[in-house]
Amino acid sequence: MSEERGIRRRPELSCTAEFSRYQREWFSELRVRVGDGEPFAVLSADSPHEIYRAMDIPYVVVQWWSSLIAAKQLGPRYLDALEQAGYPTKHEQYNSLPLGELLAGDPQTAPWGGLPRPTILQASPSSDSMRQLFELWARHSGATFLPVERSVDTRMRVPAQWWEELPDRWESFLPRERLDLLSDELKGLVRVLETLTGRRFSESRFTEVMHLANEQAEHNRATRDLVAGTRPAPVSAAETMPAVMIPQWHRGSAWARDAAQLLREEVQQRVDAGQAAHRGEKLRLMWLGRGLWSSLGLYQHFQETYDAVFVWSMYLGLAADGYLRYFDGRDPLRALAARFVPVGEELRMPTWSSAWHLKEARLHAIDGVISLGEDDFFSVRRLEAAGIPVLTIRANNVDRRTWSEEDLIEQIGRFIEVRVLPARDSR
Amino acid sequence: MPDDHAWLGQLGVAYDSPEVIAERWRAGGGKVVGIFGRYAPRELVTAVGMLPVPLDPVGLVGADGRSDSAAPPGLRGELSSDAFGLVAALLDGRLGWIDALLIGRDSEAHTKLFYVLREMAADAEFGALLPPLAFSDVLRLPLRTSAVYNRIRLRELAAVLAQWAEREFDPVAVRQAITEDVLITHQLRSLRRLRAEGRITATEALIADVGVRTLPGADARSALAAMLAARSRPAEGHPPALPGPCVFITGSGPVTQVYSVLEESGLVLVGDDHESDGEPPGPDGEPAGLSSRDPIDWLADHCQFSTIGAARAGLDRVRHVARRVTETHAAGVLQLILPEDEASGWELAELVALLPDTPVISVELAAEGEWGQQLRDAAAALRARISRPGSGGEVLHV
Repeated sequence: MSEERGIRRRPELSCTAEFSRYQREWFSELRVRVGDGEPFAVLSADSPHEIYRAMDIPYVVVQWWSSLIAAKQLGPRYLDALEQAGYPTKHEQYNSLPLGELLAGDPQTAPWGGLPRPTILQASPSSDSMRQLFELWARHSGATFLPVERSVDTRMRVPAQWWEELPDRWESFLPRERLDLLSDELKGLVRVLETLTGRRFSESRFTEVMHLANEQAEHNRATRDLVAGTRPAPVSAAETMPAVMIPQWHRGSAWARDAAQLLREEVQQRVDAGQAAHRGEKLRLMWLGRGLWSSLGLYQHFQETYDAVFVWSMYLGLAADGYLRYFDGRDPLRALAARFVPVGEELRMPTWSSAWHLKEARLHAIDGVISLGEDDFFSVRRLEAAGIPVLTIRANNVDRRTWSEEDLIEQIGRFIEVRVLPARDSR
Repeated sequence: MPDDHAWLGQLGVAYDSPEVIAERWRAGGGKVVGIFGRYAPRELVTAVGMLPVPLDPVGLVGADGRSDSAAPPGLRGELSSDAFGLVAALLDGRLGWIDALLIGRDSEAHTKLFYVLREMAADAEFGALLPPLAFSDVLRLPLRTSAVYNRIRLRELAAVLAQWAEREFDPVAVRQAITEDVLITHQLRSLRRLRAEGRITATEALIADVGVRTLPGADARSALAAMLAARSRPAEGHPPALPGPCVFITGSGPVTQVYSVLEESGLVLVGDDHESDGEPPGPDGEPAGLSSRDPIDWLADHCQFSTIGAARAGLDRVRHVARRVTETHAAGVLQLILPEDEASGWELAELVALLPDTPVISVELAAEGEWGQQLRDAAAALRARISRPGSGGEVLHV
């Protein structure tokens, strides 16, 4: 993740720059591997990356690549390319930008030399148009599209405390038929990948990958707790977003586990040394929704103007609570299914998302919430009822046609003055 | 319903005032289940003796722009306008004539609606105002794993419905309900032919389509039979001359008000991609393959491979649409996209590629109530294209 032309982030940690350097080198090597004829997969964030990791199939995550496109200010150009080809541009920009890049056909100006042409595409039909989008992408690129289903929790009563239950008791906490569905799909996926790529799936290697992913999540949980429990916060969301997400896209590797540990240790050192994102912190803010990857410095803007620090984003929050699935004595493939069955519901299913947002807001002693593109009525209701004001902004994080820094600064500033400060003073 | 559609009789009543049909059913001691979505299998409702009534998103519920809406305004951003309208109607008692609500997974907006209603049902402020509800989670990927899941889900749903009806689940009754539905679909197919011959308008056909899904099965079949008999009689032995170019409609779900405007603009709407499909009944009156299969398995397959709706569908649906365009001999295609339809637009380029000689016009409709001029412009543009030879293969956006 990087921001090239928006409001630049002021670095708070040294590990983030290291991660960014690694990311560039890794991508450069990936391009060489793909150029040498290795298979290459482009996966949505809700795909079972761990299987690809275990099989050593190089992959890139759509959302990371789209955020890079947005950061390079190439979004409008690629949206134009989509429109020229007769495709919609008002929805699913996060997933469609790389197809726009392919259609634009100009790798010279594409980020980092351009996304190699994939041989495999994978996503779940998590929105109404994902299936058509990926089928078309497959046709244009010559890739094989491997969809996995997205089932729904149809129970009328759903227990809310998923962040406590899922790490250990996922087997009983999630509906069996949903786990069975995805487990069966993953078994089929392994076989298809073996056939498509000629690579072998090793159960031992996969188990190792799953353990590494859990260790990474444990480090993230510790980092989240450090941020939540320290005033002033040792780092802001502007820093933790890239510092968490670059390793997240390498989940299941030793490098990613070590990176998460490095992040935790550096944050701990800052806590021990009394270092803060902003020493004069008076307000703590929460960013609900997808991040402004092309303008991470915008989050820090409010530190100077209002002593307000964005301490929470879903990226560290979900990295801390969303991925842990212990499986000792149990099938690791089923544990992987348990990681992805509820993905999305943790963030957007009212029963779970509103309970979690409130839990996280309280844990982080949040004074105000900015929600971008989420429209989560129940979260807003619960947060407001708890005395935490919420500003809802309708915009798309990677579509610059829907927001500008000036407008966001004005809206958020007014919100802090009119809602957040009075609410804090009345507490 | 316009006066000149009065001959539609029971079907028109069912379309205009489903609450009348529902209250009549309830007066006889029956229960009514509101159906939101085509992927909620109404046959399972019928099989346990309850009346499934479609809650037609636009016709019945409306977009609910009322300022005194009983639904919390904060839900407007979270829900589609249809779903918001439904929630408002549930909360303010306009849907007091349904005993329960079944939501189908036609789109992810329906999934969100279910999540929201489930949350509201557990809420002290709203819970008492809502009927029992259930969600039909039918998956559409053409995979064996999806087929297995769908079977499990439909059996669960059948158990919930049996509980609502206070009846035992009976597979024989499901088989009968499926057969009845297939017979009605067969009658609708005959109606479709009349539409292509200009004996019935698309608006009337749409009213009939909603009407038959509202009436109890036997009433629906007799009403359709009467309608078919009335309109099939050759007037002086010849079908009426078609008043304008034949056009196929694709895109978002059909809306009678939209069809009216298009027909008033001189288009003959010979087909659309929301018509019920499926195999015709065999000689024994049962649909093909039903006698040798568990009826719930049959339903699961039917839902998984249905071509109704672009949402969550793949490009194979577009091939089906293109085939239907060819079958209906339509001279042009009009793609209508409602504001919250995120899927149909992805079909357009594929459709144009499959129909290189057919003019296609795509219209992104504005908010309800502002359609009129857009539709008239689109109709005029399509007429112009059709009258100009060699105008296929390109798209005009209106």
